Amino acid sequence: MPDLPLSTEAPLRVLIGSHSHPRVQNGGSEVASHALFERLEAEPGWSAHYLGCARGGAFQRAGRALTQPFAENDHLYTVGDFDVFKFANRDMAFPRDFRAMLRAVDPQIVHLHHYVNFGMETFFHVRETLPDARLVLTLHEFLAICHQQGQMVKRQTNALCFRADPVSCARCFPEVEPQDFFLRQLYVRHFLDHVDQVIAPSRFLAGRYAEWGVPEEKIAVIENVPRSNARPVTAPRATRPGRLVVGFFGQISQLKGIDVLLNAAELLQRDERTDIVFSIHGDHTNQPPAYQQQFLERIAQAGSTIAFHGAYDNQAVDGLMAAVDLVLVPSIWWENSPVVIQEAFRNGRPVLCSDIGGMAEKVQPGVTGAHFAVGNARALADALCDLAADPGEVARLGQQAAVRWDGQTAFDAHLALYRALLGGTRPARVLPETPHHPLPPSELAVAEPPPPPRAVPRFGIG
Amino acid sequence: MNGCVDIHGYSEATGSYLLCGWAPIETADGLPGFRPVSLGFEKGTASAEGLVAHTLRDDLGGQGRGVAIHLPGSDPALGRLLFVEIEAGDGPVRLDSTAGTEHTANRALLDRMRQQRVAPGMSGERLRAVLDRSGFEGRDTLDRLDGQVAFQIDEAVATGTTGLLLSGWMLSAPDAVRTVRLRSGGRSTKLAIDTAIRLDRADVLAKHGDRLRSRQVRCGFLLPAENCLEPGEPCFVEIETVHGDVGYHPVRLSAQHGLVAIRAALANLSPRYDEVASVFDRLGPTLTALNADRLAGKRDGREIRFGRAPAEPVCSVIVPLYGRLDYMEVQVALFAGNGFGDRHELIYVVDDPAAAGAATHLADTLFRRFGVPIRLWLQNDNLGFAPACNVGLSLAAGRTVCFLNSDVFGTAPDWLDRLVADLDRLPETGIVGPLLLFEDGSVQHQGMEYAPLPEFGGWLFPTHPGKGERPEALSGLVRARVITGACMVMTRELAESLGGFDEAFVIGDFEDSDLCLRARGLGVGCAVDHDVSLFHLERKSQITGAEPWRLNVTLYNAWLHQKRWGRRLAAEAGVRADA
Repeated sequence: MPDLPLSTEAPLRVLIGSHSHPRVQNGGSEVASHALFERLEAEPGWSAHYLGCARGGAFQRAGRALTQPFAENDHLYTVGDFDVFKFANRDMAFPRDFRAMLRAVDPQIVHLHHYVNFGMETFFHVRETLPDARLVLTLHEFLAICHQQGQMVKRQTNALCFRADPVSCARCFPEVEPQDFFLRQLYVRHFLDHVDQVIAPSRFLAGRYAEWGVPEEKIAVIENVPRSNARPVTAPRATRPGRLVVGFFGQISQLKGIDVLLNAAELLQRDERTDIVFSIHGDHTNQPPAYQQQFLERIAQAGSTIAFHGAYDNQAVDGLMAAVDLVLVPSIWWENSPVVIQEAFRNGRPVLCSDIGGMAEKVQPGVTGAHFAVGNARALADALCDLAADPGEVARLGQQAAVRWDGQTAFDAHLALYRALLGGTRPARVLPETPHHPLPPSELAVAEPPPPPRAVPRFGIG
Repeated sequence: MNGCVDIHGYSEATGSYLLCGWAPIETADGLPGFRPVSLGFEKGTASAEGLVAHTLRDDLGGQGRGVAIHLPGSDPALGRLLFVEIEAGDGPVRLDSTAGTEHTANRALLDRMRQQRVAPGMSGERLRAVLDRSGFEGRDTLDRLDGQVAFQIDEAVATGTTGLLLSGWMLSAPDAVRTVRLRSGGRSTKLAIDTAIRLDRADVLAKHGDRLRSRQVRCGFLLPAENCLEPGEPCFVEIETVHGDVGYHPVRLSAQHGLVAIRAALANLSPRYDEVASVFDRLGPTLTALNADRLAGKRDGREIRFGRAPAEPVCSVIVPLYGRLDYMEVQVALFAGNGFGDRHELIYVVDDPAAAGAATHLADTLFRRFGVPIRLWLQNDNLGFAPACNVGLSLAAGRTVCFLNSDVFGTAPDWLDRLVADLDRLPETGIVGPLLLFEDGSVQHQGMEYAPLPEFGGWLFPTHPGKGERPEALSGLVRARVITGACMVMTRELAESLGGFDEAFVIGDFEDSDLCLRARGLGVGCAVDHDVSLFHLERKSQITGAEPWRLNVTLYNAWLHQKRWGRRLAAEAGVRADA
């Protein structure tokens, strides 16, 4: 185990990995991983390298898996032959180039924000190449558990899924045998065993992974690191009397609950509630064509209470949030720790969200926002009516959210965790709290006692 | 006094021996009609039912009467003809071959026969019809049979150079068909359709039954025929009605061979209960020949080595690979990082020529990822489980060998070392296997027993006690009567002295049981180490869920196993032999 350096010694070296790269694509986890990298770079006593991924495209160099198109400490892996079912990376060049990079950078901490595009084998490469390095993995959804884009919702119905097992998973994917789901799990778990420390940005996510088999003592719950601990300079918007502006920020997709939003808006229009207006920000262009068309038709037919503004750059979110009274997160999947919730809090906006999973965990009803029954447009409409009726409450919730937002703790927790790992100790384990979702009746049933052991027959020749 | 043969010879057009001569007057009256006829040659006798007719002769002066004979059969090639004997009501009538007897064949023979003045009457008419036959001209002429017969050969698979396995169907009006023969060059082979393996063909009955006034649903047949093909000569079926009409049906040899041919031959067969033994007693030798043909000389391939396996491996793990290549990815991944490659060698036998490229690429990426050396053998032909294992054995350098199915996965890093240690500790245990579990943790295999299956002839089939149940609280090495070939470890010396798996078993059943039983002959037994468990994603049941041809392959293997071991196993304590 390497000694902890004194302030005069060489900085601690961390390699941060992400399954994408903010210069290639701007999703929640690549933003979070890059924010951590940038803050580490700026932190005295630490040095950081970043490794992002790209699928094909402008940064590819023939014969090389890893390149440095942006900076000396900013590496990019152009993904090759990748099996998205069990996250096996069959790229011939990756093991060689990745291991060479590891030896050159020689990080003491390797912290990956995903295994997609890298492959589960990446953990093995790190273990083999740098036996003393500590290996950290931040989880972002349930992909290791669930082949349905890691969302843990049923593929055919979008119904919530409570537990993955080979037979249930094969019901979602009839074209795949249960045995193959078993092998997927075997493969993924085999390599996850190499990880020293798992970080879950929500207790809910931690709980699901613990149920699935990641040892609880390996999981710490730490929120994603924001880009900076600075608050936006824009002053909180004075709520205009007689109008509630509801903001939606995120992918325009079914799982993000856009249909729940539109259905609630229709109900409110029917009730002639023109005082509740929706401001939708997000990209719809990567959705299936039929869904895009359906969404655009609904927007076109919607009355004046709905405005669709299209995709936005994450850097511009503060300005956009300044123009809404509250932020709506109506997802019909569990969510982990949506970045948009932290952004809303930072901007002093309360959050109204579905009452399940990671989002419900992050929003405290009556303190930083409110919950409504997942998928229930009527419940959402009612909740909005309640909030519209009490502008003072909306303002109060927003102020409390702003007070509770803190851009420093998560970063400090990461540093503490790295130090503890390098010091040979594990951070205090964080037990998942009671999950924020109703258990199906079968989960509550008392388990049958195991059958008594049978007599032991011995076969054949003695 | 005997008569005399004037002209004789073989005609390919009629598929028969044709003779003319004369018989003494006192014996001649009882000759016309269908009679048993024997031809006595220098090197043997050819006997069959022949057609005998009178011919009109002016040269015999009342001492005898002319006879002409049509004797269907193959050209016997038994040397010079010595005599002809015709069974008539009053005893045999003999015609001698003399120095003046003329021997000719084919067109010349037919011309000479047609010059004879055949006497009027039923037999004469029949003989004239035979001599007027144009012979097989490559076309199907069954329409000449006045709609009395519907017939088709679906598959004709060559067995060896002169044998055939025919599958097809025949439906005919009651008592319409006199004989069915398979003809090829000088060979004419009577096809005993009535006593062949019969198959239900409701489709044929639905199409032709009413027209032919037949209700015979078992109108399909499977018929092995030996020594019936003249290499290089066309082959056809000749159907003769009771009225002497003849139609031909060309037989095209199946382009299929090997497993595909076996598969086609077994596609429509579904014997059960008492039928099973009689079907396979007839079919078994043909399948044995087909399988031997399939494997003859086919061991060619090439090896690609990824990394350097140890020079003196403790164990050579031999995995035949067919179908799912990605299983190799999981297996090798599970060996990664535990020192496996330093102690043992890993031999994959790719038994799927079409997958060679993909397997090679995958093995290369696996070595780059995990550093586990792989010896990849690319077989030129698909051979099946036993031959693929044996090819692997021939490559193996290990002190011990582990035959491993590609769908068996070990998660404990030392599972192989522990099984090898069992062998070292208890040498009288010749073959050791692990506890095998399904993916849900229930038992797949903990040693095999035998049980008779009444629906399959009451033959003994290997069974898996405890299968599908939660594992029992057993530990350590437990003796087993026999164990599965899905994962078995033994010394290479033992494996080699057994000659590996017996390749007479087709595709992959029963050869593991057979190997364990043969090992007993060398004084060693089997055991399962219950402290070592692996997952086995066993294919779904072969017995109930399989396609008919696959089930029939299993039945063939069971037939072979039963012939070899049935009696001995039935006598063993603890084996319930009665169905």
